[in-house]
Amino acid sequence: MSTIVEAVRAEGIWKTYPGGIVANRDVSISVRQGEILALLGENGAGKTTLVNIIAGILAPDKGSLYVYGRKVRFHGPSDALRYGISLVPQNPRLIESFTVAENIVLAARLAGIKLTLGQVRDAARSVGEEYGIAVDPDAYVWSLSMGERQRAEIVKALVLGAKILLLDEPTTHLSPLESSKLLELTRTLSSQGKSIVFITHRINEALEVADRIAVMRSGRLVALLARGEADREKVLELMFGAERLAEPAGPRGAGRGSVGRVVLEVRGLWVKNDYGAYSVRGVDLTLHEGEILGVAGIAGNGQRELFEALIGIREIEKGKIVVGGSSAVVGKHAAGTSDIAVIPEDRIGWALVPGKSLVFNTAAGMYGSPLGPYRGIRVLWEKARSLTARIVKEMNVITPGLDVPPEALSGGNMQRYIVGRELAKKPRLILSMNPTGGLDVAAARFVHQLLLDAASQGVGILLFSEDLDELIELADRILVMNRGTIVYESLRPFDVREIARRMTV
Amino acid sequence: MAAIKLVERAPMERGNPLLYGAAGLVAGIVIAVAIGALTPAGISGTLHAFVKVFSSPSFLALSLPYFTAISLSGVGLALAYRASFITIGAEGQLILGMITGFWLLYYMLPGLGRISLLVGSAISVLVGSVYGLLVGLLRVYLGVNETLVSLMLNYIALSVLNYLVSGPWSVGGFTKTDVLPAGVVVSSLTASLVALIVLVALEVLYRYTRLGVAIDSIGLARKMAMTYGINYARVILKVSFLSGGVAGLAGFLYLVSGAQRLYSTSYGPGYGYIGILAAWLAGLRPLGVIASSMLLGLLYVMNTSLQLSGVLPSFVQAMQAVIVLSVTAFVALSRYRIVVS
Repeated sequence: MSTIVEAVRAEGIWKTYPGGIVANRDVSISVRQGEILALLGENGAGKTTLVNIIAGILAPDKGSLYVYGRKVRFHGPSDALRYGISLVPQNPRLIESFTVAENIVLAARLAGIKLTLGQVRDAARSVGEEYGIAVDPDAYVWSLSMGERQRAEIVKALVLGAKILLLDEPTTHLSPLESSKLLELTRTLSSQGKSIVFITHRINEALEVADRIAVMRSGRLVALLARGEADREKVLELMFGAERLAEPAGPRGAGRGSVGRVVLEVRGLWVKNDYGAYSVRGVDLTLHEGEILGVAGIAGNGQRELFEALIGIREIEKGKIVVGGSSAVVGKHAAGTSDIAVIPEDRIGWALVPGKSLVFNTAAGMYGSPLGPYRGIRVLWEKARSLTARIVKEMNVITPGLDVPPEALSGGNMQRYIVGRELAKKPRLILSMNPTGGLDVAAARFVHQLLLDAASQGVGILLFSEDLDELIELADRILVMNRGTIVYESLRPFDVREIARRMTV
Repeated sequence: MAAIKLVERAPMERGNPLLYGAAGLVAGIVIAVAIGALTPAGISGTLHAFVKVFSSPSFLALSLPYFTAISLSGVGLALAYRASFITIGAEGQLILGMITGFWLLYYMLPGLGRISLLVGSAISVLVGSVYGLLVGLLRVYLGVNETLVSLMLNYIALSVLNYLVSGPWSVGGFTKTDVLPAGVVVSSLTASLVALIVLVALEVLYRYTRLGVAIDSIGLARKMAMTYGINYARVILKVSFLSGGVAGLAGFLYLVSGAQRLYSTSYGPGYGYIGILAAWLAGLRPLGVIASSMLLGLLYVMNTSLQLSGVLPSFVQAMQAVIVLSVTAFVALSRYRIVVS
């Protein structure tokens, strides 16, 4: 490469989300024509935010964008497409009952480009031949595998004239074979002059295909390495912070741990995702009373499906879940029908019923609990009210009243109410996923303390978290989940380097 | 320039929808009378017709059979819609209730008098329930769209009715059956009181039982409901069974207090469809269905009364539409605050 042409340059990008989370802090980065730039970072490092800004989906608070040297300002993704920038999202956004070609026509219309079905078919075929992408433009999307859908998205971007392709974790849902096919495709595309930004958590993938590797951490761009400069350990340290990996973390021995009775046992569990592929592949785990068992992993490695199977809202294909050391097998809806507490990652709609009062939410949330406000088929609304009043008081929930819907509360207060309601079931087992997601520091600390208190009273807690620091602080044991299986188990003091390594393989 | 804006109120600050609905009714009638200016009867003639309609004592009595049929169809639909189970099958269930009732009272249990009414109503309810449950089963176990299935089942029920009245049950070569014996005919007041009791019972079921909590949770946040132990399939099956049953009862009561015989129509009786309107007008509350069904029953009677007073049929329809729209708009307004800036 004799002359270096900068396809895109972002300069001094800042982005703060409502609630004060700074996703991008003064990020400056450029993408050269014909290169593959890998963007690496932990969960929440700010990669997706940056790419969404470049693709015109988000507007930066500060900073500017240049495309081939020209300063631009995007008001939406179709603006970015006009400059040849296209984002291929992590979950393909295609209409299942349409063919690939029809989806492309639709996307073209939305971007203000007039293309007929015939033109799109021809264009898709010639793009397919040029880059060796085997996608039948007349195939219905519902009949395509995840890998084929991903390739259909790429064909769509190319037919619409994309020169700069932003791939957001394209290999997350792919099998190893499909992943290597996709990596091969990115190489072909770049050799034909397309520029590629490739978000990934898997260091090996980045080392394999990238011309340059950019590493982000806590919203900052911490390093930009050329192909020869990068190696696994170096990238790992940049992603997680050398000091964090340097020594074993969490030497505290609270006397809790894998000694008490078993409260949850999972054996050989297989669960499918929404796309019909196995995303939990033979998971075994055992949780004891008084223990906090953390499940770490990069988002999208089957944690959500495992969690949903455990709480009884996702079908189990194979294996079994046993609660309480007895032979009682947890089946559908069983989590709600006993002394199991569930703290899911979304508050409104998953933990709470919107538009209904807190009193109603107490009744609904304790529907299956023996301590719920029911006698036979009757609802005891007075009891629901006094339970709610007690939760609000004990958890210091700031609310205008008990008859307001949960939307009237701030995120932190909603979570206080939810945790309070779940603890009111006097559970033996708490199943929790990202319980502090989106909370400020004080609210997160409050939730942490409640979980620690519950564990010290003998409750077994299974804690799924995308925040590794949270797990290091709270957990007695950490399991690492990668591609649907438990690949590593770490006891206190934790070998953080090894945990990080296993997460990013 | 003053701008008028609607600001949504918090749920606990909303106005009473019943009062707003009543205001809407008054406003609707005022507009309807004003529309009368365009007819040969003129404003004064139309106003006169409205006064005559509403001041006649037989007017309320005439609307009772409609009230019974519409309210019982509507109350089941209201609960179903709360659970996001969008069935429109009340019409077919109502028709089957009528058919079952007639078959039992006329052919199977003649001469038993009041006892046959008890048996007949119980079996008609059961038939309606099973017909409703069919939709629920298809929804829950095969993921079929309940709206389409229930609509198709309505046509099947209507075809069965038309076959019976033109074939095996026809009398004198007409497409209608014989009238029920006088011993099993019930006054429309009694029938509407039965309907009223059922409506209150369903309000109690909705407000004070587990099923009510489950229905609202599923309708507003299905994932939440399933996570915390509410069995989606079982609730939908219960709701489809229940709504089918009350629609079956609607058909039975309409038969014994209003129609008193079966006859052929190309579109069917239609009260099951008007029940959809009654349910939504009532804000999907069982008690609210009492008010909305009374209104819709009155509009039914108005149809003939106004025409007799010289208002053209097409204008009567326009006036009915105006009144329904006005009530709907006012009820919707109870959730907003009007801000002039």
